[in-house]
Amino acid sequence: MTGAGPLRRYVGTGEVELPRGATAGELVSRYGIPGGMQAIVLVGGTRRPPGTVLRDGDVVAIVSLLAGG
Amino acid sequence: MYGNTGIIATIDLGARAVGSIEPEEELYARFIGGSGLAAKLFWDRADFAAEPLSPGALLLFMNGPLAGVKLSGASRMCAAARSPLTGAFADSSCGGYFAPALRHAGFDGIVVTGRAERPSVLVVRQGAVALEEAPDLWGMGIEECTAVLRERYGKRCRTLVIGPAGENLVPFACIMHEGHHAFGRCGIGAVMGSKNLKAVVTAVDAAAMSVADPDRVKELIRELTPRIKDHLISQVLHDFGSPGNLEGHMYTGDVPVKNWTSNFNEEMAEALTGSTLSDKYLTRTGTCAYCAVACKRIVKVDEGPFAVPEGPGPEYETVAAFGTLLDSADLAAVCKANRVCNDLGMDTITAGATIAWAMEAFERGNLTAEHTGGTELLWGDMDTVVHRVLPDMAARRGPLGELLSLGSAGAAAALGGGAIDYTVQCKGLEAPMHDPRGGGHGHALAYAMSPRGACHVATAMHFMETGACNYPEIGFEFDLEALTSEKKPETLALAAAIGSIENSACLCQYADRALTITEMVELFNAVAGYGYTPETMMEAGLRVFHLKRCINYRFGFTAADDDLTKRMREPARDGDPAGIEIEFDAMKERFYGVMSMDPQRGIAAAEILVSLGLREESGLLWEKAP
Repeated sequence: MTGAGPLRRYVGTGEVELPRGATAGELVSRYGIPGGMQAIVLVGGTRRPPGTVLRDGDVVAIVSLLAGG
Repeated sequence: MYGNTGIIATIDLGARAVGSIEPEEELYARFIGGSGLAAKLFWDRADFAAEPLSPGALLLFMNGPLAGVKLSGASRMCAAARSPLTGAFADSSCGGYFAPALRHAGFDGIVVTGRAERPSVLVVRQGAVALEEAPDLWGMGIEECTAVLRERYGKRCRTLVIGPAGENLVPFACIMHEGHHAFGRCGIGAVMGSKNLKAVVTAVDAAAMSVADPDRVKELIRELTPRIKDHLISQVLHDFGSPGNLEGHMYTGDVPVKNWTSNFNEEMAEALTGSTLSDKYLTRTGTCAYCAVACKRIVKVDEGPFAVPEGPGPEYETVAAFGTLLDSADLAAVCKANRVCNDLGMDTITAGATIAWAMEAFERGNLTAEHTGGTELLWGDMDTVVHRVLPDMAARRGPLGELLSLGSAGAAAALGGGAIDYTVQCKGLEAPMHDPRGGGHGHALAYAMSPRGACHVATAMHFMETGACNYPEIGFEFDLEALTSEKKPETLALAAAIGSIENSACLCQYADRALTITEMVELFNAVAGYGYTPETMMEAGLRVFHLKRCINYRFGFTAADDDLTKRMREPARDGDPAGIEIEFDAMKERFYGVMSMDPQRGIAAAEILVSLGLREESGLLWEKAP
C-alpha cells in the first residue's frame, strides 16, 4: 500500500489489513482524503474502478489526478 | 442589468472610431457571457469572408457575468477570433486581474476591428476606450513592454501584451497578461499583431458592481470559499501547482512522452512533477483576482545553462510539452523554455508539440539538415530548443524557424511524405498534454469534438472522466472506466454543456470543481439575475456548443474534421494501457446520435437548433446552404 505524489501526506507506505470483500473505493475512504473521489487506485500497477474487490497480497497505490494546466 | 454592465465597447482601429453595443438583456442569459456571448457576437457581426489576419477580422475580449465577484476562480476572461492556426472559431481563456478591471471601467467586453495605422495601445478608462500610438513598444519582449506600460499608465494598470511572435504573425502567438497569465491557444496574439495592436491596458479605479441579490451573493461567497480552498484539487494546486499530479498521471499513462511514441517514463515522472518543482525552484506562489487557491508558481533557477531570474513558473502543460514530450527530464530547461515562450509570446503547447514532431521527423529522416539550415534536432537537446529553435520560430527566421512557425499541421503539410501521420492535433490545434490512450478514451472523443480543435478544457470531459466531479442533479454520478468507450459519448454530451457554461461564465475549471450544478445556477441568478434552473443553464451550455460548431460550418468545417491523426489512433506502446485500441469511430457515431448532429455536416439538426433558440442560424445553414 502506498500513496503517490501529493497523496503521500494521507496514505502511508506499508501493509494494510482489510475485511474480506473490501473494495478499492472502501480502501480510499479509510484515509480521509478530501474530495477522495479524485483519488485513483492502481492495483498491481493497473488502474481499477472503485468497485474493484481487493484480494490478499494485492499491491495497491493511490494517486491523484488533475487535468489541465 | 445586474452582474454584467450591459455595455460592450467597440473600436475600428483603422478609422479610430469608438462606439458601443448594448445587447438586449435576454441575450446575456441565453449565451451566458464570455466565450458564449463572444460566439454570438461573432456570428452576428463577423465578416465570414475575412481572413483571420486581415483588417476585417473580428477580435473580441469578453468578461463573464461573475467578473469582479470576490469568489475564487470567478474572474477569468475570454479572447475570441477566427484562429490563424486552424481557420476555426477560437476562444481562449485567461486568469489574472484584467476582467475585474474591465468591469470597473464599465464594460463587459471590447470588440475590435480594423488595423491601426501605426503600432498602438488600446487604453481603457472609466467608460471610455481610446487608441494611443506607441511605435516605441513594437519589437519589445513582453516582460519589457509590460514594465514600460506600468511606468506609462501607473502601477495599478492591467496589461494584455503581445510579443515578437504576435508582431510577426506566428499563428500560435499568445497574449500575455501581466507577463504571467496567458490567452494561450489558437494564435489570438497574431490577430492582435495583424491589427498593429501591441497592448490593451486598463487604467481605472475599483468601482462598485450591481448584483441581483447582494445578500445571497455574500452568503454564497462565505459558503463556497472554504469548500473551494479545502478541496483536494485546490490543496494540490496550492502546494505544487498544476504540475502537482504529473507523477500520478504518468502512472496512468496520461502523460505523452517523446512525441506520443510512449506514455510512461518513471524517471521523468519524478524529475518533472510539481513537488520537485517546489523543492528545487519555487520561491513563492502567485494567484488570480480574489482566489484563495493561489496555484501560480514563481520560480528561480540560479545557475547553469538554463538559469532564469525570479518570475513566472511553468504550468503542467508547459512542463510536459518541454519535458516529457521532448524526451527531457531537465526541469530547469522547462523553466527557461517557459520564460522564453512567455517573453516572445508563443503558446507553449503548440510550440513544444511542434518541436517534438520536428524531432521525430528529423530522426526519421523526413526532415533533413537542408530543411533545418544545418541545425540538428535531437531528442532532449534542450540547449538547441531554448537558445535557437524558439527564437527562430518567433522571428520566423531561417528555414527551420519559418517551417516550425506554421505549427505542426502546417509544417507537416509543407513537408509532405506522410509527416502528418505523426502530428497530434485535431483541426490543426495541437493536443494538450493528456494522452487519451492512458488517461481515458473519452478524451479522444472530446479532442475531436471540441469546436476549437484538440482541447481538454472546451468540455469538462477530462474532469468528469477522471472522477474529479459528480453532478447528480443532471444524472452524472462517476462510474466510468477510463480505458473503454462505455458511456463516453453520453458523458461528453453533458461535458460539452458544462464546459461551455464554464468558459462562458469565465470560471476557473480548477476552482469550480468544488461547485455543484445547483450552486452554479445560484451564482448566476444571485449575481446576474439570469433566472436559471439547472435545465435552462445546461440548455444555455448546449446552445453555445452548437453555435460554435455552426460558425465552424460556415468556415467549411464538417464532420470529417472531427477526426484524430494516425498517431492518436495507434494503441499505446508502454505502461498499463499498452495495446488497447480506442474505439474512436464508434464513439463518434454514438456522440453524433446522442447530440442529434448531422453525420456529414457536423452541426446539429435543424429542429435541435430551433429548439435551442438558434432559429436564424438553423435557417441560414439548413435552408439556404447547399
